[in-house]
Amino acid sequence: MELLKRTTVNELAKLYARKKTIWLLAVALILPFAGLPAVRQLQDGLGVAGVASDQYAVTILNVMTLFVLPLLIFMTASDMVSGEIGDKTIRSVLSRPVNRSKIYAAKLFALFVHTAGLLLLVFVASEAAAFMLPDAGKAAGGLAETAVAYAASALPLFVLCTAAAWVALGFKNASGALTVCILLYAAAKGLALVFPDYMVFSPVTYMNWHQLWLGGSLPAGRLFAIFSLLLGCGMVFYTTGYYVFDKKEV
Amino acid sequence: MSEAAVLDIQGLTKRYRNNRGVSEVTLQVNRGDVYGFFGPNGAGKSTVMKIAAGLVRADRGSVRLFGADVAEDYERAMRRVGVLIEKAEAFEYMSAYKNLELAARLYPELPRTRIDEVLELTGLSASKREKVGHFSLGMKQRLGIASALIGRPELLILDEPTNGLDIEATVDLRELIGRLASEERITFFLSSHLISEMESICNRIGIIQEGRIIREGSLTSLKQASGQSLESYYISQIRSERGGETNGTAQADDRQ
Repeated sequence: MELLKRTTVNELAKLYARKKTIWLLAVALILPFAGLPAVRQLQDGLGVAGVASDQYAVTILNVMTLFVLPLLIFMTASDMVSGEIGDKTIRSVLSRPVNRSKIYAAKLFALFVHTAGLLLLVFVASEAAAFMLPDAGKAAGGLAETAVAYAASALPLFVLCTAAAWVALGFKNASGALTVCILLYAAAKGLALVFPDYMVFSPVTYMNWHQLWLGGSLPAGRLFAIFSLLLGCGMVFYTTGYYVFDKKEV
Repeated sequence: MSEAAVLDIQGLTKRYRNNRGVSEVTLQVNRGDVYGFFGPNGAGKSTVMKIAAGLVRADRGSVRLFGADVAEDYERAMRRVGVLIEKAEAFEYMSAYKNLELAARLYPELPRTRIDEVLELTGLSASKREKVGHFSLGMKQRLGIASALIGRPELLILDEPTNGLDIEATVDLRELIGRLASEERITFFLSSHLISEMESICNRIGIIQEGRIIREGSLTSLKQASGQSLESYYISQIRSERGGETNGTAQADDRQ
């Protein structure tokens, strides 16, 4: 356990030593504020009912989980897995007295921590931005519910992390892995629109499952079914990913 | 496996899709040895070393490090081993110190002062805060050695450690290996395709050709057996192998 913790700390240290990661964190922080002019334009300029301040953080989460956070996850997973395989720095990781099972787990834990950190950052930034909207007085309303939605959104994103790492294992360069991750994600999203009945088993279909956690009554049966599906998909991606990683020759 | 053997390779076989690889490689590195694994490019040196370091899996055979099987008990096998395969691959966006910190973190019992110790030992103290991306090849290779040394290894596996280095850096590295062997009592298993390098720093030699070990023994026994320089001996062995005069793996008589 101690070695797993230390290996995870190493993965995070490498991740945050990259300038790219810091820039992407800054983008995640700025985006909720960048959305403000558009909302103001709708409300003030065109007289269209825009987003209420108490709904702003959830609206940002909808956008983030649809496109921005998956993209950030794909970039991070590609660097962490394919990037290290490609530039052979993985050798310096694998030739230490640490089993590959721990190294793979540490990479995913680091991805989970990073994703959770991104969500927290977006949550704080979105709530802060909401206070800059014309109806700022309502911004504090529904804070707890919004926090639950943000926490819930972590699950499909974590599954996406395991899927991205799984895809990245097949590549020796980060850009190739990133491109394929994006294409697969876009295809899964597109197919879910065209064939909704056939895509109920795709984890990508449930990127917005946090919306089920909003509102007074929670659909327990549906939540349990989706939770089970996401957990199952995550376990399949993790297990098969570890199998491939364990056999990897570098 | 003899009691003194820190690395015991038995019947190692690995075939790649291009049909290259190694076949039935058996060798032992004893405590205190500076074992030179010599052979031309593509002979299979790196394959054996990668399997010994757990980076590649063998089709058949076994590798034991300090009595622990690399394939079955990796953490115990690698606890007292440092590795540098081909060229040192460090995280270029991090400083030398940060790179070593990553490595040091995986040895819970190590004091933090160990990082400065290995930096001093490899002559990198002055550059420890510099990003590795700005390092010369020689500096990167020294960082690779520092990284291999961080866990106070008793065995260092170095694959072509002087590859790509200029003469001065090569001499520096040779001297460092000599110092580590004599002062720190580190056992070495190192490969090279330069026979003069092997002759100057090794006490035991294994010669690999087309994936098979064709000769193995102490440097003195190999030289005495041939009555000539190691280089001439090697050439004569290769020619006789090619001419089909020698069959199978041969071992020099004395295993000192």
